[in-house]
Amino acid sequence: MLSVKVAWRNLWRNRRRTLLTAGAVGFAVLLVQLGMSFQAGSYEPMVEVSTRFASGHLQIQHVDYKDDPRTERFVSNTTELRSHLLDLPGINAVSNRTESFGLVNKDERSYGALVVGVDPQIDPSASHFSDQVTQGTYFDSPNSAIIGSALARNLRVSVGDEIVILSTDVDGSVAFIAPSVSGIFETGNDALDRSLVQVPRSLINDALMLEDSAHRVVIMIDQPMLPEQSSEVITPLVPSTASLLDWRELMPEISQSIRLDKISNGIVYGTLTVIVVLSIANTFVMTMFERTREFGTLRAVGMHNRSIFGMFITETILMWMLGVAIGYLLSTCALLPLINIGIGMDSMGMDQFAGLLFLPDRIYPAVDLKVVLVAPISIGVGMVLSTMLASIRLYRLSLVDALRYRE
Amino acid sequence: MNTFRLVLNLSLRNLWRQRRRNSILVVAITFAIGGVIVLNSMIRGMQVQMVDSVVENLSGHIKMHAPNYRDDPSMERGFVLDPIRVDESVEGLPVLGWAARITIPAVIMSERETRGASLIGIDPDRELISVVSNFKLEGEGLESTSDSRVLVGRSLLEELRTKLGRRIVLTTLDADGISKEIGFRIVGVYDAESESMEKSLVFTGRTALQELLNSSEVTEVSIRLKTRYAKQEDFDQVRKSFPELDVLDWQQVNPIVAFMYNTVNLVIYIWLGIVLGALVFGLVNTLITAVLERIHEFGLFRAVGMRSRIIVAQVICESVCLMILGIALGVAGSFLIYAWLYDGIDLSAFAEGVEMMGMSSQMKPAIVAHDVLVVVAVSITLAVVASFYPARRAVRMNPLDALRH
Amino acid sequence: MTNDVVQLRSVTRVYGQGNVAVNALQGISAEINKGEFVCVVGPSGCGKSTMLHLIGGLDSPTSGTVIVEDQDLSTFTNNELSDLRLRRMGFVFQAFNLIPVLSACENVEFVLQLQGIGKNERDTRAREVLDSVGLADAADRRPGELSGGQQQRVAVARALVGNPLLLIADEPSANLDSTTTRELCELLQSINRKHGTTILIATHDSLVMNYSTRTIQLEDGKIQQENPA
Ligand SMILES: Nc1ncnc2c1ncn2[C@@H]1O[C@H](COP(=O)(O)OP(=O)(O)OP(=O)(O)O)[C@@H](O)[C@H]1O
Ligand SMILES: [Mg+2]
Repeated sequence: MLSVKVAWRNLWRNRRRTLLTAGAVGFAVLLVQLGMSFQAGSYEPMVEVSTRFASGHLQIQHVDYKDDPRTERFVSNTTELRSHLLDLPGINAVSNRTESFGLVNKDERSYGALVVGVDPQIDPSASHFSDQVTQGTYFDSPNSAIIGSALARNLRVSVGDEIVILSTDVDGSVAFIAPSVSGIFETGNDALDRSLVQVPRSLINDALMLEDSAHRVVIMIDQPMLPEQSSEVITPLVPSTASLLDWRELMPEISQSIRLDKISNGIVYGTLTVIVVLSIANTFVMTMFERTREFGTLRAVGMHNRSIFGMFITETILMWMLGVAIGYLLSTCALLPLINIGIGMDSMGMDQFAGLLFLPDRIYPAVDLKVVLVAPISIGVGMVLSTMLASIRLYRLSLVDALRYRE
Repeated sequence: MNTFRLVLNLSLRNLWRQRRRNSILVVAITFAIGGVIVLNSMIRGMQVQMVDSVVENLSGHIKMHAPNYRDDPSMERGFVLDPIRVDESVEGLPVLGWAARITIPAVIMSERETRGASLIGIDPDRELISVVSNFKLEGEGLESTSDSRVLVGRSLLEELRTKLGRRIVLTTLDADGISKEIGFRIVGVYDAESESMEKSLVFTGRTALQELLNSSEVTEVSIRLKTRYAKQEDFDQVRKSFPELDVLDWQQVNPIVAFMYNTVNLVIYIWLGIVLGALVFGLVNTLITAVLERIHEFGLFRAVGMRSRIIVAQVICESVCLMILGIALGVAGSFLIYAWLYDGIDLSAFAEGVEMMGMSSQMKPAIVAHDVLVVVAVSITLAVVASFYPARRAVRMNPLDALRH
Repeated sequence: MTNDVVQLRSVTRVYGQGNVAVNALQGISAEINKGEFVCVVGPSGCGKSTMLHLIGGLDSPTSGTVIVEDQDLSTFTNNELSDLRLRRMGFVFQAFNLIPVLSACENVEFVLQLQGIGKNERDTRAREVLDSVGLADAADRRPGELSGGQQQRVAVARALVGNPLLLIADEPSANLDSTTTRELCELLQSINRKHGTTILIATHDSLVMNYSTRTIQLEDGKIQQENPA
């Protein structure tokens, strides 16, 4: 109690210095918090957008399919598997997809494309394609197809036209389907728009003699950022010839760029923290010099070293709390309006790449425990260490010298 | 001159008198300056790499297509190559070379598998300007522009489950937009740094391909300069010579990489601002303390008739000296780190992510003199600005009060 | 059990080493009895402060023993020394050494607070002592708002408030005029008489010496003579 009072007054005795130090803490807390909340807010939507265009959150596929996708590497009895999966907790949607590389022909023209068989009633729960159809409609009959916009242009195909898709079935013999184009989608991602065709799974499975099999059993879960949890529940259901992969394995470029981003930002935050802590340490050392005689006096009237150190630490903590409060206040002011409206990709000039990089339209800063605590705690630890460093000298100094000390 | 010597002398002595605290501040400055320069050098290194790899990977500095080719890359969107006109168009530019190519999508069938890829008709003698000349090859390379065999990437070869020397069949559209199946023998297998390149590019002789597709046209010309960056004038000169074609620079060819490249310029200054902002607090704190504890002394100086301007100069001089020492150490430290990282940081654990951003998995730092100068100039300005307020306080006090202090 | 509050046995104190070594005290032996009012006098640099510091446990001798209340100080840990000072001694420094952020009253209370005494008692006792040094009116002012003499009296009040056995003062009158010095000495004398507090003062001031019951004269780190008053 006593030391809190003395500590508090000591802070106010040197108001300017206290405020500058607290200001430095606040500055660092603000910057790190802003940065981290936008990071935290961007990863999940980025994963969400990219998984909905491509991999899904988790997939069950044949053990060798990922390294070398071949038609005969499928997972069978997928309708039954799907219903079992849907009974599990934390699972949102399951969609079975068949995949085959095919030659898409219209009249004399032909282009290669990835042909994906989906269940038209089910797949929209796991992907965004149904929303991206800009002409025509998402499947209107069991013998229809939707096709990427660039591919449609290159093939000179419009809605209603029939296309012929050649591919190879499980036995390696040529198979073909001739659906009519019910819709044309435009995702903004050039690779998808140029080389993807979707058809009903029943259509392609018949042609490829795949029955109820699929190459990818795509699973959407409640907690995409924590796929391990769902993996554990799902694993018992995975057939012996198949394996369960999460989006980090399916889209290493996304998870790697997230990790790279985290690391490089970590370096930035670390450097910032070190600079701020060094500034503060410097201030503390100055303060301790000025207080040498006070220290001597306190010892002379009978205060224990421990209590004096307690007082110094109390001062540090009070100053830290003040700084963190300033930082919180500022970052709340900055984040509160943004948390609801977010920042549009267009305002950063990023909208043109949104499709290419699988970016969401807007990023909303997300505040979680980590965002709130990382900066204050690391700076706090730095400040306590600085206090120790700055006061070591006092404890080394003989009492007589401390009492005689002239500034 | 004398005054300056006096001021400098007093400042240095005062700094030395408080060497312990000043040394911590110098460490903080060193850290900040060193941190900024090292980080900037990483960012610049990344930028340079982006540009280099884009330019090498078939874009060149300047690329020409027929209009509409980019939306519909096919033989129908070709143009007739006039080598003399191309040579004329680059006259006077620091050209390393140029190459005309045919790049069209194709479906590749081996005995067992079918894949999609880009089929590129090249003149091997002209590809010294691109990554093609650096490929590690198994088997042979293409002999000449009329060589009708193909060069396939290692990853694609594995996916197709075929072998060197075997035949593959490519389906593509000919000059009239009619599907054509053509058999090719695999003459060589290449290893490239990027796996996606290995999977998606198949090379053959350009003239041979023209014959197979009944065409006399090419789809692109790529010009590579000797300098790292193409100047706007260079670009305009070429564009003027080919008004009927789409003439693009590397930024237009690779908008994502270009965007990242340009964002980085901004990041460098934001980062500088943040770091120096953090430094201001410590600097001002130290300087004010240094002034306050010497108020008595300053009072004395003024009592004996020293001009207040000299006192201000002294405080500013101290601050600048501290900053210069910190800058010197910071710059030296960052150059050491630069030398240490010179061979590059291994980012192969992030290979795919790094590739997505157009970088290579060896990140090499690059120090740009201009950046270092900006850092130095801004931080010295900061030192002057940050010391001004404390200095003013020192002289605002009347000498008697100061003496009693 | 002797009647001595302090015993010094061939105490030496050497500052520094080698050829810069200063023999501040060169084998001093002395006793100070309970209830004495002792002045340590001598020219500047003769070792007065050093002797007081050793007795107060602020410093330790190079050789010899310092015994306070029959206990050898060299056997004490740092914290035990703190406690000894807290409960048995009071210090008055030449330069006052008050805690600048606390008011006069709080400075005095501080010692009691360290002793773990409750709020109400603390307050009454602190004000009583301040009253006895004639500072009742200045109790709520901070050191910066007090004159040198007033600050010195606060320092005395702080030294006295814990009812110490021994009060040590190092040149308490150095910053005071003769009137204030006399007031201070009378205060110390009355405490010495009323409570039997042993008082040990280092001084140059003959005014102060007049109040003592005994003077110890130091010269070059040696006791020259002891004069009973
Ligand atoms: N920390 C120290 N380091 C070195 N020498 C010291 C130290 N403290 C005291 N001395 C020396 O020891 C001798 C005794 O010093 P001390 O302070 O005890 O003198 P004093 O009698 O109190 O003098 P004054 O009347 O001036 O206060 C002096 O010669 C002094 O220079
Ligand atoms: Mg003395």
